[in-house]
Amino acid sequence: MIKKTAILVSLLLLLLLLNIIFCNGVPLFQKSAWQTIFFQFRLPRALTAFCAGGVLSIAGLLMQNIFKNPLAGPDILGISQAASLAVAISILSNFAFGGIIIAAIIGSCCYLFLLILLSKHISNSTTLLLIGVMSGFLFSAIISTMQSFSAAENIKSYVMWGMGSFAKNTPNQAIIFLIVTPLLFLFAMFHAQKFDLLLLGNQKASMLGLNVSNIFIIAVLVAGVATGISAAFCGPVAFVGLAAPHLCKMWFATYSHKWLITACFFMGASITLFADLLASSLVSDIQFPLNAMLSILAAPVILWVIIKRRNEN
Amino acid sequence: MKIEKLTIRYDKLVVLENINLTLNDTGLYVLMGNNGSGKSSFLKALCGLLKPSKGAIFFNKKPIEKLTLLEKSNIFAFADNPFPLPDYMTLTTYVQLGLSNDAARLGQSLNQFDLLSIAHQKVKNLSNGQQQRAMLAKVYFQNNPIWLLDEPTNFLDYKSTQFFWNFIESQSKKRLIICAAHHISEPIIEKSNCIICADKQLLSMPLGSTFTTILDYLQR
Repeated sequence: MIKKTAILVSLLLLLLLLNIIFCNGVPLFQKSAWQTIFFQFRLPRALTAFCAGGVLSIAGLLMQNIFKNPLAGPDILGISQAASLAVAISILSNFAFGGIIIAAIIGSCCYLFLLILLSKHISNSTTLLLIGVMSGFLFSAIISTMQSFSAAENIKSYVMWGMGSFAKNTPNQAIIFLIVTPLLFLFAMFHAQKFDLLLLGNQKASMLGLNVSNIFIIAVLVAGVATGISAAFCGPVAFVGLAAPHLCKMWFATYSHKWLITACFFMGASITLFADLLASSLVSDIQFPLNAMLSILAAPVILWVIIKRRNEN
Repeated sequence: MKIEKLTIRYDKLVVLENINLTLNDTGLYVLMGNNGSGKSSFLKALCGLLKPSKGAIFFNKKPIEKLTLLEKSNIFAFADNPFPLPDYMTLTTYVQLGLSNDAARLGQSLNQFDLLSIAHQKVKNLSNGQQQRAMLAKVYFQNNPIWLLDEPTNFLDYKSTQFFWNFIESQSKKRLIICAAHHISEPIIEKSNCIICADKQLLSMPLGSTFTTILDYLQR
């Protein structure tokens, strides 16, 4: 297990380096003023990708655990849709309240707060899942209604935001993300054993002394902050939170969340760095949409996992 | 344990009504009754997994809903079926998960249920009977004063079933075991307290009632 983690960390460091050097298809050192480019653009971009991939994958892992559903991901609680709604209001209605990042943070925090209030009274994960999916539908419906009444250029900038990007952040924003990320990681690691226990089912875990509602709140909090902050800084980044946990579970072949959380963190970060590298440097001077690139990378992986599982059973 | 005026209802379906019952601190109680007569609901209510519609249950004069989760987990061991079983988990880890690190007792628990030879197999790859035994080993390892077992002999082979009832009988000398079951060996029935679930009531049979008497009741 230590060996596999070491391989993952080395892969991650390699991708981080490649991303910084070859992002946009032009090697860093061929540029004039490369220091400025490094500190102002390349480093924040790579770090944002690293953080987003890491926290979203942990969030996905915890969601798959509490919902006992391999198709659950970090966006299943409707948090990224809530962020999207706030961003849509901000962009589409010209009702600017401090820019896209602030809007996304406000949107996801309000919804997250509501969700945690609700989950205190819910000991049934299906109810929580339904609340998440239904709210997601509701928010998407409001967004598309707003789109049908909006000006074309506003719709375009909203759609561009929805495609996701790691490239828009200032160094200060990257630093905020870089502070939140280890906190989320440690918070999840601190509760790792409780998630192991939850694998036995809610009823059995509670008979062994685990407070199941509390563990829901912990998972909702991790997923909420992860999705919220990623949506704020990179747009609604999709798929990595669904793909990384599956890869890690198969490769590490363990139930232990101490290992799975660590593995997911590094695996998710590697996937986003790789996707960003491809999106930005596949064809020079052309930026492919990040979310599309992530899905193109991740969808075959998920399919492969599902088919392999089927065959094993 | 003392049960006072217990009523269990699912929506409009009344399963048990106004039950009053006192259980000794040790001993084996066998719950018998037809499908849907309220055996499982009664067991779940006893350990607080199911909130009764009316009435209360007391452990050492304390109502069980006042107990914390940790206290409950040190008093009750509840076992219905081993599912869901986690991927990639060995049988040893499954038995030990969430409990103490007492290696000696862990070995003993596995040995009791003849699981040592498959201790390092993935629990998901084992047969239903082996998984059932793993769950019972977990109950034994937890070492709580009250065991609530819902059809514990499901999937067990003939030899394991015989062993299980003898094991339960010897364990019941130092703890309270309440066991819902359909297939019980006749000598055990005569030596244990039988409770029949029927017509929304629990009927305590006199000690030493024979299997035939109980069958009579169940077939009414």
